[in-house]
Amino acid sequence: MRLKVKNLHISYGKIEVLKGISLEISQGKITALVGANGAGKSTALMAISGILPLKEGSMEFDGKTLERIRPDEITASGVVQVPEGRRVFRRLTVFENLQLGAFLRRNDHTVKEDIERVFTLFPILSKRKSQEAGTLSGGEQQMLAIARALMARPKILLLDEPSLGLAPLVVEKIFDVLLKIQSEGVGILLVEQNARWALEVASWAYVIETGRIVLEGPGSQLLMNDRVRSAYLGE
Amino acid sequence: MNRRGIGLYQATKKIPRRAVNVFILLILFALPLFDRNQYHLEVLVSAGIFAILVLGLNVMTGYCGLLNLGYAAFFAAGAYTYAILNVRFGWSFWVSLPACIISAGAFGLAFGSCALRLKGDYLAVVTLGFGEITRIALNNMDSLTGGPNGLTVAHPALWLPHKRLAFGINSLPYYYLTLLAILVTVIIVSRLSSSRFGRAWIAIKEDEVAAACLGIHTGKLKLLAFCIGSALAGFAGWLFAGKQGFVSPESFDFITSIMLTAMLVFGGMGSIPGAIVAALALTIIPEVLRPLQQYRMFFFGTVMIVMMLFRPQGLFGGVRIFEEFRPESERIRQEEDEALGEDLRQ
Repeated sequence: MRLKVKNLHISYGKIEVLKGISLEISQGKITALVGANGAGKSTALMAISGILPLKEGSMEFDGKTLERIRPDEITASGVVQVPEGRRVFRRLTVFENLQLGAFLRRNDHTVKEDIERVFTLFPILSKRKSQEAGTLSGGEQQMLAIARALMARPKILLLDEPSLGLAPLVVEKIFDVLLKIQSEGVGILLVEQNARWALEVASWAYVIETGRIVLEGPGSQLLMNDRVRSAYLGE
Repeated sequence: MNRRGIGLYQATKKIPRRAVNVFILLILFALPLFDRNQYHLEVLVSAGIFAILVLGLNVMTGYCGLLNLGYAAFFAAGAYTYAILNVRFGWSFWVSLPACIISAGAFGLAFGSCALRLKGDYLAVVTLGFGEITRIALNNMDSLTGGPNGLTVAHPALWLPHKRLAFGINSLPYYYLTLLAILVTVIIVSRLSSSRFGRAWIAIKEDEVAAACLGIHTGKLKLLAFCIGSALAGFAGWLFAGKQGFVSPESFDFITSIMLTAMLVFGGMGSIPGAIVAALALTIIPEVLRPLQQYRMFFFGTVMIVMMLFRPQGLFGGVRIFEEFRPESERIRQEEDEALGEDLRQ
């Protein structure tokens, strides 16, 4: 299964933020989207999630076109976003946050199973389950945000800056889990400012600059690319 | 690790809630046995009707974050539905109940489907305008609503096996009816709050984008909260019209809407006991202050200001958000992250 995004244009008022980008995300693979602040990475994710209306462009998932459809329909079709800055529901408990991730599913039995499953991925959440999400540490909140999205049983997971503001060890742990999720067949679109981490795990990567894709290729190859090295890896 | 706030919250959780609730309910049911003062009961009935209104407002504002400064309009919808059905068509009090709830709910649905395109302060301003339009319309549609003179409607009555028991102007039957109505409302609201809809409402209030990312149809759910909140206002309006035996536009003015919002904030957004205690307190305090005459509202205002200074989260809104406001909580979070790193290293 593939999510194909073609020629995406997005404007905020008169300012065009995305000037026609095309991406392809496959199930069971990690695809990275790297770029500087303000290049349009988050905007692209918000557009794919249906939260920003498309001005132009089309999306196709699993052979079906997704056009002018609502965010909840996109989530229901299996494309789920973990937005930037974690955005857990601070006043709800960890458990309630996870239940909300499964909002579209009504079968309590499978929801319970899935909660157990994310607890094995992130054991710390199980310890914290009756605590309010606002009292969690930054790393725990990021884990909760990912776990919450997994509750929707995504086929494609869109991750916006999962490493933002976290200690390196925590990031490592989160990336381990992402690899595990990927090996279970979920496709991941990883948006990162921290290009090195992203490129190391990505089988295919795109580099975005001021609303355009300027470079693409296998992650390992881009790590060697001179332009990428000087602009994003600080070498 | 400093988790005192959480500890406190969990400690209060350990008191068997149900036992406390049953105890309070017994006291309330037995109250008229000790205090038959009509004036006291009258004040309690008014407070009770306010409590239902605040519980309804709590669904839309407390849970879902939809600020509504024209809530009295939906209260009016319920009250006038009974009044018009009774006066023009001779419907009895009890028979009118579903109509009052449905008409107020439909009113909320119709208004909400237009107004909910707006958010936050903008929504508040539109609801404020809507509340005023409703009151002015009621004031001017003389042929239907009786205009400023209002409508005199029948008090409820019960048919017991042997005789007809008219409620009349005795406060006692209304006291029990109101108590029952609050009980029903509390059951509905608390069921809703622990359902998936309740969780989704809180999620929308906290972060609409994050909620949408999880597949929550935010538009539909906001409309649902608005509609349920309006329907509960209709329920309260029905009770109010029957108890007063009279409805007129001035009972549904802007001040009423503001008062309800103040009660919600005073009790603590999203808290059911908070809504009830605040409705009681803010109805009783002005009554107690009556001997102060023209200084009454001054003292009332002072109580509100002091409250907001020292407990901005409201009477019962507290423990859950306490932790976030602690200045040291950010530092604790960082320490925990380091500890988490240590954990992972092993």
